[in-house]
Amino acid sequence: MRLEARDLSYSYGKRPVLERLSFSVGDGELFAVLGPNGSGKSTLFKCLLALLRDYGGSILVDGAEIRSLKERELSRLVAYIPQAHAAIFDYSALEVVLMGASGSSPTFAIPSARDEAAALAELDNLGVADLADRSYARISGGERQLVLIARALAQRARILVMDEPTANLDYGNQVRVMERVASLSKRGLTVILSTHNPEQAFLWATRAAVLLDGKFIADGRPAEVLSEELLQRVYGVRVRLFPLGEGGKADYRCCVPESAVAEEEPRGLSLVR
Amino acid sequence: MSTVKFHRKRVFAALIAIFIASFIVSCALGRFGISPIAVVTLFFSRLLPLKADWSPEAETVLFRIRLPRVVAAALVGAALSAAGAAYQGLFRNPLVSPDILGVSAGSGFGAALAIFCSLGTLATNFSAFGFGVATALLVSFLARRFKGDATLALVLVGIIAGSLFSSATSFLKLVADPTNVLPAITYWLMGSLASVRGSDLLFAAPPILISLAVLYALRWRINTLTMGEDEARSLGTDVGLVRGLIVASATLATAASVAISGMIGWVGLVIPHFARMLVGSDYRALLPASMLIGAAFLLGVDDLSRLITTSEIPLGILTSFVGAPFFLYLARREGAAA
Repeated sequence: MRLEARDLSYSYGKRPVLERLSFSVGDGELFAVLGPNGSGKSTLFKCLLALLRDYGGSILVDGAEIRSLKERELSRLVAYIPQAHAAIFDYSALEVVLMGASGSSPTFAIPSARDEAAALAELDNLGVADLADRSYARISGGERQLVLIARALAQRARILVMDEPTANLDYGNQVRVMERVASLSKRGLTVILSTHNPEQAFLWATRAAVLLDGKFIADGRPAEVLSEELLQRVYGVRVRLFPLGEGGKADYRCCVPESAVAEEEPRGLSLVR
Repeated sequence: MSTVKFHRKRVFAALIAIFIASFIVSCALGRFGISPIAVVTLFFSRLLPLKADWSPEAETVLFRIRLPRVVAAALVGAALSAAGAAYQGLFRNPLVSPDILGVSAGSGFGAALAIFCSLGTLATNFSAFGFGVATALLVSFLARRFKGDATLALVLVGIIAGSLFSSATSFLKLVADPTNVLPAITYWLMGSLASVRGSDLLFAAPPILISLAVLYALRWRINTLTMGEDEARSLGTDVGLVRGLIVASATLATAASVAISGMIGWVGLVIPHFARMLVGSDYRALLPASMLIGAAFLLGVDDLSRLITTSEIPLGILTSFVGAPFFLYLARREGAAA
């Protein structure tokens, strides 16, 4: 399934936030969008989810303009995975996942036994079936993020939009969550996510784009487009990128601030640059 | 079957039993005592050809006086609790009650105005109901003119409308004749089911039952709204439609309740909390549990109001006396658990 933006623009009043963005992502791609705070990432994602519908240009899912789709129709094509948040009311994890069946049910329906079995199966696929009866408010941030991913999968959408999925997670949970996400894209789902960590783009993304002042200033394979110069321009700090060398993933780069390698080049890493 | 579900089934069995028991006991209690067994026999006598071994007075008291009042208590309790539970979900705030959009204040003013003009009981019902519904319509209309968060706009305009109508009611009380009109208004506003007759019930039951049915049908959908508007929409919920249905149902239920019972506070705030403690937050269980508990609670409080002293104690006062300490207890419990 293909998600395509053509000349996508958005402005709050007279202030332009997105300016004529065009891109297209398809099955099996994991598309990481990087950009400093305030660069327009959140606005872009709100447009892709048709939460903002007064954008300029067009956003198409398999050729259909998303703002002309009903919430229910769109929810079966594109699923939103927010940052792990605390619910105001205390649901069980299974009840949260079950909400993913909303899009395929009429407004006045309640979920069937089949929906419930499917929700359990999604938790099981992510390896967290034991969370089903646990309180969503009392599980860890990483577990919550997995529950929200299971909810998106229960929606049966082929495109997943994730807003900084690893924000506020500890290091172990960041890795666990990103590994699950990468395996989903390998299974053929389309994933678009925003991240503040260039290393995540190197490690897991098949494609990365950099949003600055509402425009993409780069878009392509992470190892090719994310350069030291580019990252410095975007984030305003000098960074160095190091490949892992032998035994490491060829496209992976360690990203460290220049202050960490001020005098000597680090010894542990081979210095092919 | 998961343990959560098994637990819920048992809780619901208990809640239904408690509701039926309080219904029958409420029919039995009163200055003219009827034994609970006689009450049940009399109910069945309407369906089955039973030999009449009861006094005709008992039959008259039960069907003409006590039953309308008991049914009204159950309906009003269920309506206020369901409206409160639905609003707490819609506004994503557990401290919200059914009068958040100013509906009760509007209805109260409508009733006070009708009493002030010395109109009859039926006109008072209609005026209270009409002003309540008109308040919600006005609030929804004005809130649309706000930019940004639609839900927040509703609450803001609702609070303004509520305080405006309260002031208008105070003004009516100020200029009302203090010998007869003022006490009538004051007594009405404190809430009571003492004067409920069959005709009041015919007036209030249809809007309340329709609203309860709509809210019950939406019970699972309300879950998605508690996740916030953006998430609800991306999950496939038509937020505009569902919000409109909830506001309309809660308004009809609240306005119809206030029209026959006056202002009864606390029920719509406290009962959903209590229900949440028993069955969890999933509205599939929470909404029916709130209705059952609310009905049983108001039946009990209404029994107290007619039995404690020879003259009736207004319901609104009793629900506060019972509700406030109970709410404090719940808040302490929840605070300790968190």
